[in-house]
Amino acid sequence: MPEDTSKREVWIYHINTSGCNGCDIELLASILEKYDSRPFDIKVANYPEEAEVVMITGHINWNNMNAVKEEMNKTPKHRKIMALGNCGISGGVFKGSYNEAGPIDKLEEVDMYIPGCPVKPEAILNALSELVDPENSFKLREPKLSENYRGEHNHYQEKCIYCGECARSCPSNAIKVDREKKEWAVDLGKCLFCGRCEEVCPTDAISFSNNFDMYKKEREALWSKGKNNESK
Amino acid sequence: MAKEKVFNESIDREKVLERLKKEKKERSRLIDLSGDKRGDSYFIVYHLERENGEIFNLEVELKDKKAERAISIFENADLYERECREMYGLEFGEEMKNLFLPSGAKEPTVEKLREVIEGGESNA
Amino acid sequence: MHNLQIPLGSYHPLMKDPEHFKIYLQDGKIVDTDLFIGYNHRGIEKLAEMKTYDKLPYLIERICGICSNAHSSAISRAVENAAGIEPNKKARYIRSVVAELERIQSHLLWFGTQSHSLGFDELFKDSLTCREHPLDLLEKISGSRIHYGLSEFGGTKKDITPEKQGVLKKELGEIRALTEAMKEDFSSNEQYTHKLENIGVLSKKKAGEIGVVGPVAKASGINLDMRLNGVNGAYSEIDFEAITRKKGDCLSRTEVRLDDIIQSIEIIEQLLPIPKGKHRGKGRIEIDEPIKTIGRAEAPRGENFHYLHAGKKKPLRLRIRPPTYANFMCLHEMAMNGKIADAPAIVISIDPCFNCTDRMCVIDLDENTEKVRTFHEIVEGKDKDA
Repeated sequence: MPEDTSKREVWIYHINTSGCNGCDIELLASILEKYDSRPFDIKVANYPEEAEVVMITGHINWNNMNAVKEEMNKTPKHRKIMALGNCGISGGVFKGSYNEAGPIDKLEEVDMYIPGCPVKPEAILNALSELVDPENSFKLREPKLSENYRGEHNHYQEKCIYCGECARSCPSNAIKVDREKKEWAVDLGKCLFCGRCEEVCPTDAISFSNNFDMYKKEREALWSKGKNNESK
Repeated sequence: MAKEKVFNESIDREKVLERLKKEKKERSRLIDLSGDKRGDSYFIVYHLERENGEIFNLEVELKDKKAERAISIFENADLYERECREMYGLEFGEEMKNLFLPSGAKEPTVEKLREVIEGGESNA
Repeated sequence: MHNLQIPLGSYHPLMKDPEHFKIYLQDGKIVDTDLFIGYNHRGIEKLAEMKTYDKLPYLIERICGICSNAHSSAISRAVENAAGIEPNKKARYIRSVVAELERIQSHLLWFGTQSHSLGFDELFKDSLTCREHPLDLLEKISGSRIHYGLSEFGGTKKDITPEKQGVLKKELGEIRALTEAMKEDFSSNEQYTHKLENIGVLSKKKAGEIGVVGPVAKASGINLDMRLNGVNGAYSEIDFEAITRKKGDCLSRTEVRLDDIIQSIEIIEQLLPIPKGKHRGKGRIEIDEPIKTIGRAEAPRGENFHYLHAGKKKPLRLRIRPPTYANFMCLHEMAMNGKIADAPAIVISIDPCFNCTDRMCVIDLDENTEKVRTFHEIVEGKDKDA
């Protein structure tokens, strides 16, 4: 962590389309003093013209699609876009609704995807650091996570029998299982981190790690084969 | 631990307002008013809570999708009736403004939403 | 220190279209109000008809990020009623503890946003910092700060072990101390209480006719609290009464919610230690005959009502009436004949779901103008700018 006390200003502009507000509140929490965001001084812009980083939560629906397009047109050309939370990345659990007009990258190119349902405040700050200043990016201090915390999946290959029970039980259809090729993958951009797959697995081949830094710059990179593939 | 006591009843459209007046006299509270569609039939369900804590669901089948306003009996039926008109196309004999769907929507039903808003496709 | 021009003003993407609350002004007074609440319309009632019962709670708890447990409890009760099963004793205690922790964090968040909107940023910072305590406790119990994923039919997924109960007890002491300090700061701040006293009065009679629920009803003298009907959770095993006030103004509503936080802490302390036993229930469930039933829970904002017409494997119809929906209608009564500068205080005092309250559309019938203004601008008197 750099000791330099001079802070770099980052102006963020927040657009909330239609979600449950969980990610918005975690964004609000991330700029409290508890989450030390050095070396950034995060300023929240009131107008799109001032935006340096645009953070969008929720997915686009037919009621607000035109308005979001207009807002995005007003932002300066050099702005970066972050999609916060799985509603914006894939629709999350609301995919298939009649009022869903698509994920955010259908409208605009997204520079950073932060998966989570909801996202963790520390993940937002780490991703912001990577996006704004990639050469000097650093990880903020490790949070004290409980042993129950559900981060990225662990998949233990020698225990898995590729029965597909996890894929069938997933509320948002985020898991893909191929029995013949013996392949297992989870789309972190769709996953709700609800724990259902761990519960239904007959051989205890799935568990959750403490990794909350799952942000990536490309949508395809959000597919994960499980963080820790060796058994515990 | 006690269990919720729930009673369900169906009633004819002509007898609805009279029944609601009787419930109001017995100090029941209107919790909610929902619409429903089963097959080709449309329904309105009045959800009431009696003074002794019992929940009472009163279902009315609507022929021709026409219903009568209950706001003269229960004032809080207003917002719920606006929603039923908007989502199911039920008619209450009055002009009512939209709550959820864009004002340009020609057909106020949830089933026509996608076609109405500039022919956009859904991502389902 | 970070710049605290907080996201309340940027929560909503629309700067042009008519907003959630419309206020009509004439002769400097509010003469009419109206609503448009469709920006967040996700079609959840229709989506619910496509999900089997084991996946349904995960959809329903994501209706709201602040009161997620209230929705998940209500749908669990509805499906349990339809299937004819009762939750086991330990699960009832655990559900009550989680519900009270959620109530504490929701009221703290509300108090922070009210303080910020009316210009008192110190209390905003204190509230949000204090709120981290219940959130960390919820993460320790369930694995997530929001969207706990604890619901099972007839039980609950995770246990609160005796070790966690010890941590819970200690943290509750901290939360109580911080909240009492904030209450003291609030009630001795005359500028703050002056902005709330005698504003937005809702009489007991009118409150009963409009059918308001939760702290709004309690502040007008109506004793309405779903925890007292002896159906949900373990509340029937302990002793408490609903907190009420008589005046029905914004100040009463604030006092009811702040006292609710302390009462929730006392309720959890009465529920500990949690009796031993098994806590698990069933994930997958099937209903024999289609049946119409309901489920209710006391959300932080009031009575949360779910009506379920249960089919064999999926719902045939699910109707959700959250508490804010019942409370919207009292805005008209409270705002009529008032001044525009009081409108933000009135709207926030009914504690509507966070994202729809930061702006309103002010329609001036005398000057024939229509402008969207943030709460901050209205409170500071900048709504008259061109």
